[in-house]
Amino acid sequence: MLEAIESEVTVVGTGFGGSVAACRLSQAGKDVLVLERGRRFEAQDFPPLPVDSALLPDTKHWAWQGDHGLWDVEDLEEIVSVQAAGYGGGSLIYANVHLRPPAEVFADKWPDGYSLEKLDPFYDLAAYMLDATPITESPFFHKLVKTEQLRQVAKRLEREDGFFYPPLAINYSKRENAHGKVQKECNGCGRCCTGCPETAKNTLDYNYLALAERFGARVRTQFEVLEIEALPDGQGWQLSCVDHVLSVTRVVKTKTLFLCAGALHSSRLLSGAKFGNGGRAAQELVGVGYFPNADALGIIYDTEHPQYPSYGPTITNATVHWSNAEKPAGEPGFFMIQDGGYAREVERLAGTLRARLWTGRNRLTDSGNAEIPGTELSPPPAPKNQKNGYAAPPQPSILDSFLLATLGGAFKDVASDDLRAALPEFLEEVKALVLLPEVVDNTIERALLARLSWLPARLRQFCVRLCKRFAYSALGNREKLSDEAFKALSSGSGLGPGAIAERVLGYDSTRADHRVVLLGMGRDRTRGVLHYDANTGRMIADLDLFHLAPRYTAEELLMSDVAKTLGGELRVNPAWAFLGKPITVHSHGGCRMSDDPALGVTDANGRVHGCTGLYVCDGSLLCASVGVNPSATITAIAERNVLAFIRQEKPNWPANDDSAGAQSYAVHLVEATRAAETAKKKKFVRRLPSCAEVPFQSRPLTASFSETMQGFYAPGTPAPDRDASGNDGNETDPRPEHDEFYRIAEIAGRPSYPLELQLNAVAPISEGFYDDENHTIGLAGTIRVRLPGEAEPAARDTTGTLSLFVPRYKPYALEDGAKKQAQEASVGAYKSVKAPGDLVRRGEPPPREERLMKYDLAFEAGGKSWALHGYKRMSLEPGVNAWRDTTSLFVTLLGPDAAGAPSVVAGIGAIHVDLTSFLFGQLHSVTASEAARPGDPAGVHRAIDPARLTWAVAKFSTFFFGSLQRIYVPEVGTLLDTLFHPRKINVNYKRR
Amino acid sequence: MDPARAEFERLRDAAKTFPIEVEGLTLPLKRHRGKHGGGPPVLLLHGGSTCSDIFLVPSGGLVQYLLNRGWEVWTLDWRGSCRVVDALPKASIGGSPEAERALFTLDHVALYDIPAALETMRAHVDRDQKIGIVGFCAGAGALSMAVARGAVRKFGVDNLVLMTLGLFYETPWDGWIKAEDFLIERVLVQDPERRGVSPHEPDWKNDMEQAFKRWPAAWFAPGSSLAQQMYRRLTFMFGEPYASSLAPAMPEDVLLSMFGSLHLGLYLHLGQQVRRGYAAPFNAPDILDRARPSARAVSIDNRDLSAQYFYDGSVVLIAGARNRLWHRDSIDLMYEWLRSNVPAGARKPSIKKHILPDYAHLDLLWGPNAREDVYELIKDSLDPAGASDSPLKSSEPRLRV
Repeated sequence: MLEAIESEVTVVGTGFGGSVAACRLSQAGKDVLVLERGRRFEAQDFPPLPVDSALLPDTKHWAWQGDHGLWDVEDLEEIVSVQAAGYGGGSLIYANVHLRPPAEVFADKWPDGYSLEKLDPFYDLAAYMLDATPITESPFFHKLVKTEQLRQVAKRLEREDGFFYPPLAINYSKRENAHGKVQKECNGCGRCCTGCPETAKNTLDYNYLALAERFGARVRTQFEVLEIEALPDGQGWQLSCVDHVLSVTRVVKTKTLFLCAGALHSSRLLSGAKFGNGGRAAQELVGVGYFPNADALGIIYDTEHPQYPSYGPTITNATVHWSNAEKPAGEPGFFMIQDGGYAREVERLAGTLRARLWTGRNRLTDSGNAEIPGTELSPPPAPKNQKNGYAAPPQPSILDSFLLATLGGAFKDVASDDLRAALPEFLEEVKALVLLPEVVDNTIERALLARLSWLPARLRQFCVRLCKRFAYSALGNREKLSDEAFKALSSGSGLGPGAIAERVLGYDSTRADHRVVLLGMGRDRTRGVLHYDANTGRMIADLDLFHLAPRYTAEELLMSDVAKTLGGELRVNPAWAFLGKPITVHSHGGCRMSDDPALGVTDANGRVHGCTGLYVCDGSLLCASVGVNPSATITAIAERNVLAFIRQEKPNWPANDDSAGAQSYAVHLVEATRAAETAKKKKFVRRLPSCAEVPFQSRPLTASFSETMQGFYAPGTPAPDRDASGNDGNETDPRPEHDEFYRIAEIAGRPSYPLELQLNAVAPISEGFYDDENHTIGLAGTIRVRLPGEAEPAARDTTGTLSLFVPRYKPYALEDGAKKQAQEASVGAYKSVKAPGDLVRRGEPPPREERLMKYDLAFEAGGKSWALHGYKRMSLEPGVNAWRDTTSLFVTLLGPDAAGAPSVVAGIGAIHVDLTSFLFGQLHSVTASEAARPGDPAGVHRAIDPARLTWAVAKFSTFFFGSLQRIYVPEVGTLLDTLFHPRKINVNYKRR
Repeated sequence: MDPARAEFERLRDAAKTFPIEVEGLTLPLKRHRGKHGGGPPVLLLHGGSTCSDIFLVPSGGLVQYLLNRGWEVWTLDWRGSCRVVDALPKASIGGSPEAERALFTLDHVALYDIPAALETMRAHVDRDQKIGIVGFCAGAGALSMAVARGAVRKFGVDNLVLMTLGLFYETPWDGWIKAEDFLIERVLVQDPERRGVSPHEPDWKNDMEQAFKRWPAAWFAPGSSLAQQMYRRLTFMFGEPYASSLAPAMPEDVLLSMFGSLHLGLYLHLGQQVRRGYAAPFNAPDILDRARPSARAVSIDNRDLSAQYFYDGSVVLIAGARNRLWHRDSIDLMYEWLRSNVPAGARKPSIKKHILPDYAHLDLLWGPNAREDVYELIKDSLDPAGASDSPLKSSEPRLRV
């Protein structure tokens, strides 16, 4: 058995928080042990992008989930969070932006002592340590086409005030840095986010961590902490770890523990920690206030003028948009879009965002003519002996390599002559074996039969035949279907590099220079909470995405403005379009600071309430979404808190301390002040600038669809047994026997009392729609009904609303308790969980969910006001027929009372959408149009391009039908889970 | 004959051989001296299935390079050398094939061959001169095992260069599959008398040949010359040993003479290490059962992992990023392990790692630009004090206050 490793202070994690802690504590003379789960990535160790000759690409350094590689992609159910695993943490893959948020961010919800003004010295110190200077200081600034073009776009959109060059932690000249490490200069290879091969990024191992090691910190890499346990009597902390180099478990004992594992993993470790009596209350609050920073990604293709996205650092500039009165709080809010970039090897991969696979669903604008002139600039050719410069020809991408290798394309380059000659015949054989028309046919049939297993046998056969006929009439015949499948898998002759990828994914890499990558991020007001699933050891985010949706919409509007100005085609994050699941690279929050132990996990200095010697020091401390790239804020707060920790023992440190460490810190303080003065003199933008709100040129869209329902009702008041069951007469009572009650009434009313509705629904795809807890859609149309006392049915105009009560699959909503109170007090309460049945307690199995869609209609008959209330039920009880649910509307007809208000029950019944009108009417009727601008004449539909229409329809359909899908087809979720967590298939939400 | 080839043959013939007798084997230890003689001594250890000639090639190998820069170069054909294996008497050494295989494991190389060579060298070089060692491939594996067992530093060895392998064994997926398939063990079941595997054999017979014929990588090498046939078999045995285009081209006769039989004892031991992922004595219990943490704890004593001796001098690790034989992770893990295990309060050790982006395995020695890219690194590693100042390649923090 290996002996326990002991240390005075242990720092877990080497990101922006951990590095500061390791460095400053070592300088203060502490015995510091640094534990990092990831590898030591030096310049040559970053994941190789393409490997052209290898049979399979070398993937060992790619994913943390694979072989302890660089990128850690965690599926948090409602969002996918990406972070780095490696010595230097997020600094290894971030885009170098070192930007301070505006003062408003610190306005409330932070402990005393936090304000931009008070943090400024620490920001200065961090900026000095990371050596952050804007791109304008680089020698190649005047060659950056993408930067210049975006500057002109901002000018054209009258957003010059919001355009700026943020400070970047990049080294622009070959030299030994202030911390004694030799670094090369940036050559603009665009690999910031895949690991700098030039040592030009000022990653943490070139400054803070180098100093930590210099001053005696012991560093263990590939050393992952699994569990934290309090030693008895406050003697310190015991960490159960695994040393991935040797694949052995180790134990670390430490007096003081700094947890700096990042928002997700610090929260996870704290949630799973075994505390004595002290920390339990704080542990309960872990996860309160989690922010994904509203990250969004867009790529503009086919711009009129070249942009060279692969030349220059990933981010060089930013444009901020301020909206001065934001819902729901009414405070000012902001978001930025920043330019992005990628290595040339990724060009083809970036092309997949506009692949046929997406069928245009993520397209927001079409390419057209640019509104700004092009520039004469072009990137310089690569210097001699440097492979990473611009002019190097792109090699096949990761995706190519993979597809080529798996599908046989690698044959072209490496196969012997004999084999190549035999290839066409071989492929024909494969086709004959695998893609026979009969096989395709059978596959479809079996899939359909399985899906329709609930139908009676004969009906099932009929439906399968019907569906197949639909499919074949769309594609021609089954031979053609098979041919298409085969063509997609091989390009017939040659199988050149990329050919298969192009056939399958339908992207082309031509005009790769005519692209712009845009990264959006902003202050989000989501009431995000992280939950710890003790069974799987995973974190789950509960994000209230409908509060994030307006921010994403606004970001897309600005991106679409930019795309139009550049004359390009905008495509946005496909994951968001398809899964309703955004991706964030800026997770923060989760262990919020608060002076009040009831509202936060730690105190204002990061010490966990109720624990001695346990500190959190990373992005999870942040108490609000910072909106800008958070690394500067995390570093500054870490500087502040670690100094406070040191000064508990040594007041006024580094004064009165002659040690080399203290002296070096003192030098840093002096140099930081000097650097800040220089920056001021040179007028660098170091804080997010304020500017006036500039309206978007693109408009939000509305979606509409029409719906026809027919049925019967029985006049009179309902039977009295409703009251016996304790019901208050509310027709939306979700008890199952009620549906039958309406059904019986429908049969009783047949055929004398017909009821028919023809409705057009209009849903604004904008803030209001997502923000409204009922997700209300406006209805207008005709009601055709024979009212009691009338001889014939008559058609009347009707208006009203449809409340979707959109189902949110939330098996992990907050329980009543300390966590909920803290969340409500510090971050805000949920709105949308108020809908009935929405709040499901943890500890229960994933629920059979049930939601109601509520129709409220008013119409006039004989000069009197009448009303029709109805509900559709969506539930997931075994045996319940999904089709019947979503198409049956159980209605109550209300007649006028003495005062003339429609409140007297005049009859109940049920009406239905029939199959043909659903397939050929409702489905096809979903359309979109641009919302009217204030001042537009009523009834004028603004012309918008078809691409945006498609997008809007797709987005609405995803929302509407996707919500249905989440109730009725939970297997999709399970499938995704299998993909992301191959070993954890049966997720079960029970708490221990 | 061109002058480079003439110089190559002169050097080959001029080397003085000191035969070393260990465990009934005779191992040639050769001394190459420069024009002026003397100079700091350095020992070069070749890899398995090859011989010490890999350092001495007509286009100018590491031996020539170091001689020209004032070193006295020693090369050892340790018992994994094809020269040794191909020259064995017909009868099994040690009485039985099994006993012979046990003799040819890395353990015996680490415990006997390398210390014996160092002892002989010590007898012939100045007392105060430190010895540098460069290990390549399995030679580096054996060397690091010897160092970890404390059998090297006591001979006054200061600078160690480990190329492509240390105490950790990571292979690309194909190598791993072969190890996991227990291919060599299966061959032995069918042919218990078999001594070694040579890439020169036209037909390996039995399971080995069957597996070879099904092996995708073996299809891909174009052409039918002897060297290309050997390349296919080498690729199957280990993974691609060198880029198929070596420029300037190695004469085919020289290339063919570089390779020979790999003893099955060594092959079996390497297979065990690959399955295990790290160095351990031959037939030490595998602890692959990751589901049972207790199994790890028990067998931890069976590892050949002791970091303390590595810190008594400099260690430089070199690998090619595109190595298809030993994955570069073998070096990465060694590096992280050495960086992580420095005892508290110890003098800061000199551990460096160089990953060369465009290099695979044997082209580290034979590649067209190996002289500038690799030999220079080796030279600097052997003489850190006089190293040409190329701190950009250094991975060691150099701090000024």
